Amino acid sequence: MKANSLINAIVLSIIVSSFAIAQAQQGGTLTYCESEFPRSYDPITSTDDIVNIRMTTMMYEGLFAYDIDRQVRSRLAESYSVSADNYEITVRMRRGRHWADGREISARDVAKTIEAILSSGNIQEQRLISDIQEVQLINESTIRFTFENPLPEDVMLRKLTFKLLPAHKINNLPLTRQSEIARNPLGSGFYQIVRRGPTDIMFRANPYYRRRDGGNSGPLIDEVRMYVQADIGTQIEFLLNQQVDVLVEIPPPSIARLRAAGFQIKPYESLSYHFIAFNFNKNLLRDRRIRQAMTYGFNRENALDRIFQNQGTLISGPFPPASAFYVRDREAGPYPYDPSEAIRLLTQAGFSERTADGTRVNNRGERLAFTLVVPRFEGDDYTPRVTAQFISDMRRIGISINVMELEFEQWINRVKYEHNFDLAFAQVVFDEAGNVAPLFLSTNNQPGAENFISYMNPEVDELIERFKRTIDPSERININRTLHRLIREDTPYIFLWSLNKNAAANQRVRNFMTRVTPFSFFDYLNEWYIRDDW
Amino acid sequence: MKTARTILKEILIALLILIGTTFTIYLLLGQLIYEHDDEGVRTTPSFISIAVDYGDWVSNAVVKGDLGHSAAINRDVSEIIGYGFRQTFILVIGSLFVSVLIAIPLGVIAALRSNAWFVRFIIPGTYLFSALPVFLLAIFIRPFWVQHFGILDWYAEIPLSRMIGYYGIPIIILGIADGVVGEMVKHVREIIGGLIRENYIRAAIARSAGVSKHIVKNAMLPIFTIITSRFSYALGGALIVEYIFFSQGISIVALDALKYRDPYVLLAIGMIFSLLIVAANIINRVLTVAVDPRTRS
Repeated sequence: MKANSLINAIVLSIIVSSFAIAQAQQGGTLTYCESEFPRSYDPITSTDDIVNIRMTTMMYEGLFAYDIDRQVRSRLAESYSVSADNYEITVRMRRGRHWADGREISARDVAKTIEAILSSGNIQEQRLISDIQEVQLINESTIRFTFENPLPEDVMLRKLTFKLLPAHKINNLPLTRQSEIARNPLGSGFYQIVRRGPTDIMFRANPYYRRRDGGNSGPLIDEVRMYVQADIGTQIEFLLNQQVDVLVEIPPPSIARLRAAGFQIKPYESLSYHFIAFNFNKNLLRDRRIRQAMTYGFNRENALDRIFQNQGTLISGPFPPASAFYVRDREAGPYPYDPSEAIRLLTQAGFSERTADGTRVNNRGERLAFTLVVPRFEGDDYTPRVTAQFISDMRRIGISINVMELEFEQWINRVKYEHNFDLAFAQVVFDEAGNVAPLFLSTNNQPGAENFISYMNPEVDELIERFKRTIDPSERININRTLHRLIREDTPYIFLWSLNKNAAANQRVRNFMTRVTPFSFFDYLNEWYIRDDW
Repeated sequence: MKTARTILKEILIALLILIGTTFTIYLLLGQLIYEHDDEGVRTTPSFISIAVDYGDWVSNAVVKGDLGHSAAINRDVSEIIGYGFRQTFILVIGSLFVSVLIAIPLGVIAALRSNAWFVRFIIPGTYLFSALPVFLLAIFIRPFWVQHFGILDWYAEIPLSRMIGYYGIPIIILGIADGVVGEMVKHVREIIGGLIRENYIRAAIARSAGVSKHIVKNAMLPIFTIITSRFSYALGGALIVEYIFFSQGISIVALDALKYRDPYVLLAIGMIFSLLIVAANIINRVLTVAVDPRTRS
């Protein structure tokens, strides 16, 4: 009898406590800060707009999506089959998934989204789906994609990670930021916009959202409020005073202060890297010894530590350390800081004499004096400090650097279209699929293209082409690792670093970023919850 | 009758200035407008077509209140700048009010009781405190402001005390820092000091006749000129205060519009500023005429 009562009491207490937890987990409003409003409200018409990317992650879904382990997982797709020749993939979509207005999502939405991407000015998204030769609707929930070349299964899936738009809201093409869907968004993700105020945007849980495991629960937090505050110092004060719950990116110097004040700090990869590009149209910069000397002569480790409080990783080539293509050998690691090696290489290249101002000169009277073109971004205090150290380090080895700061639009024009620069400070996003053709394939050097340095290396070209043709995953890894070594050695860029970003949240936010995929900050927002009793 | 005619003349001149200014802005921003409308394809529109488009834009603005669409943040311009102007003008007008409220009594006291012991402390103290830069004072006071007022929910009912603190602190900072009050006190002191040294005032004092009426009347015009001249200066200072305290004040909106080459936002801001400057000139003129009948001719 006693034993029975004890068991009953235990069972009852378990039920009561689990009910209490469930109560605590549901509901609430999460407030996060952005520095500016997004430039559009759909996932296609805005490029390079991180505010838009974060926001649309909450509101839109694709057939597939990247998971925490950087593998592609099904989202709106239920299953798929790849043809034996690796030219086709047939995707069956989950039934009973709805847009936020209650209309069912169908294969027509996928086809229309592809049409919309192709009509838009979004080169990144267009590049993602550029290999798709044909889209065939099999039925309302099945769609077949035919590719121009045979592709490995994982690459096919990566190409189908674009977010879907509702076909019934796309009346006219081309899709521009003036289009109805870009102004009044409608997605199938966790949240939908319910209000756009003068300083904020309010999102509410999408009642039609289904978890990707097929269950019925939506996100745990009822409302998300995005508050726009330009000044990062004020954002931090808001966080410290519990007026906002989450800051999506905090400056490295504030990490220690916020951590000491009991806030959760979560680092996440930025999935991009910084570099200083050499213009191969300039005679002197075609000499590999000069390029290597500048790499040896720049103390990047010191810059990363001093300027970014070590919140990042030095890189040695075009693949991130987290990528399967990254080479971990010591010989293929980042160039060490070695000014004497830099001077030896410069002397070997014929620059042994120095002018009165210390700049090296060769016997033809050519001076090692270059202009570094740097894009200027509002609130970016770091780049000027990096360039200042670069100037000082280069002066030490006899190279004179003149910095030209330009607004981003002007930088794009001068560097990418006119190719009018010696050195350019830039940043690029890693390609998840490992395709570096846009950056280094010699034919991609037309105005506006990514190979704006006019890099030309037949060996690199050959490897890139082989990579495109290869389906076997292990062979693709081998090719790209060889490419990594080759590009590191040839030094078309001074590869700098891939920076970590840090997000901060107060203790109300639970499950905060226990899983996070790069860029798509809110991919797992449905797992976060608010505890007001902390 | 003569006054009415003067005012009418001023309004007509102001209208011409307004049309000229906005059309010039339209011409200057035309490149961006056409570039944007043609989805990046650059065209060279004729003067006539620009003039016709300008006419359309003005009629839409005046008749429908439609100021165009912001390409940068994908919202209607009127939606963006309405809130921005409200924030900025509360800040600027409020700060001018604070400056006047502090500076005029202090300036008058300093002029009338220049040898009093407290004047020797109050005036240098005011100069010193007022000399603090806006950004320094703003950053220093920000934690207190955030803690007590911070983010407002414009869709909920906001208690008056919170609203007063929310605007009051930035207004006071803009109203006193950057040497604003110090400079105003100095000017008021000089004006009043100059007046009480005038022979007719000294004679009136000698006769024990009332002089305050004469002093107020003669000091009003130069003091009013100082206040109006502070207006554009305060707008400049508002940029820093808005950046630190408020989100989306008009100067932040204008900066973003410049950054993203957002023509209709710039055009609307340019037009409204022209309108305000012209209106301020008219008010200034009307008040001048009212205060000093000699200026009527």
